[in-house]
Amino acid sequence: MPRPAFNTLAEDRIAAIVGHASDLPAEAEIPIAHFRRTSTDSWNLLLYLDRNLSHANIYGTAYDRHMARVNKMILLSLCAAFERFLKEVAAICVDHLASRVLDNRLDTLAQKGSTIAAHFDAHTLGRAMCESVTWLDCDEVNDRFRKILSDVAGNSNFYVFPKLATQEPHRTEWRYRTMRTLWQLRHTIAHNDGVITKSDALKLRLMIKAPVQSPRMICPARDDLRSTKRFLDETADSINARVATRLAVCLEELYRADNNLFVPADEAALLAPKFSQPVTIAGALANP
Amino acid sequence: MSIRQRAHYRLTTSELAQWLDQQGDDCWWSIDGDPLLTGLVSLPCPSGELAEALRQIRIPLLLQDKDNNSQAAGQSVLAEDLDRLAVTDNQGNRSFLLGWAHAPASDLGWLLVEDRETAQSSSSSSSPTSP
Repeated sequence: MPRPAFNTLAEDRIAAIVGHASDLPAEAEIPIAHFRRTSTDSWNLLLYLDRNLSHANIYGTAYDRHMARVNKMILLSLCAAFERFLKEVAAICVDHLASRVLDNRLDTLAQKGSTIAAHFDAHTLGRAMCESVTWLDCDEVNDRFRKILSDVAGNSNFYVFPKLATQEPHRTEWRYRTMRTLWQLRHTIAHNDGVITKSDALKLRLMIKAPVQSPRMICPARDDLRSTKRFLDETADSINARVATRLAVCLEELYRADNNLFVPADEAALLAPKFSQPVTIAGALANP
Repeated sequence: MSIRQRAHYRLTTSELAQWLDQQGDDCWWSIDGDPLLTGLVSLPCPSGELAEALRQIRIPLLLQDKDNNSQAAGQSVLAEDLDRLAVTDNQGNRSFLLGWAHAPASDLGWLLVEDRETAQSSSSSSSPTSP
């Protein structure tokens, strides 16, 4: 007997998924803590499976096949958490600068009216402007942060992912290259379920400077995930610290030009917990 | 069932930090289920990093006894007791089920879990400094 048609019931069932959601964790207001929590949860999933499946009577081939899929999902989740971290950090910068500048620094996040309208209920202007765009390209991310965190003359040498050895922090251009490869792997998993297409292979070949076969299914190993997590953890820590410092410098410059804009001690006290690190503005130090 | 409803001990974060220090930085650890510690430190991490994070938190811990028939009812334990209270899995990873003493009664606690595989991988791949 054929199964009954799902038909219009599907529409309600799928719509119901939207309601199956939980509250955000408290640390969601602190980008670096939010990132650490999510990336650690992803890693702990592997440890959890190890602990519980090591006692189970399982078929090795099925286990390997399912773990390959889990590993792919975890790689995707790590990249997603990192992208979210970037946009949450950018949103903080926008929130603390938007009402204090008249220049065009926020044009780098220019949105259509309909897009802004859709995000009008976002908690803050920063979130409204930053959440609706993707942060999956090192050059775009560099451009946005460099403009948002420029000085009053519109100049900036701030690079989230330095592309050249001479850009600060010096000799970290390998992070740019590594991140670019990771974004491409994310793309392959998210959009082709892990199949390295001909065009993916071409891009990856240029990125890693080694032959890449296609079509092939990408199967990240445990050690690949460990390396990815460690790289993203260290990169997120570095970006968090550098953006906090640069934002404090920008605010100090604005304060020097108009010391009625804000009270430095109050501003530092607002920023330190958001970046989970000490922040100094115009001599006023605040701890998280 | 929460830790406080089971056989459990009390432990200070400084005692746990001391025990972690004694394990050395060749041992790596992860925390499964605690937002406070996972927000403070990138995990898995070596013993010393976790010990440092724990010392910033001055909240007593509850430690579930691995023996379900134990009569433990909140007695204090020290760093020197933790070797015998650790649960060891068949891969040699030690773990503890812990909870914060001030957490609501419904809190199910969180796991401190050793990650020997990462420790092994890190010892062969670490560079002294990474900018």
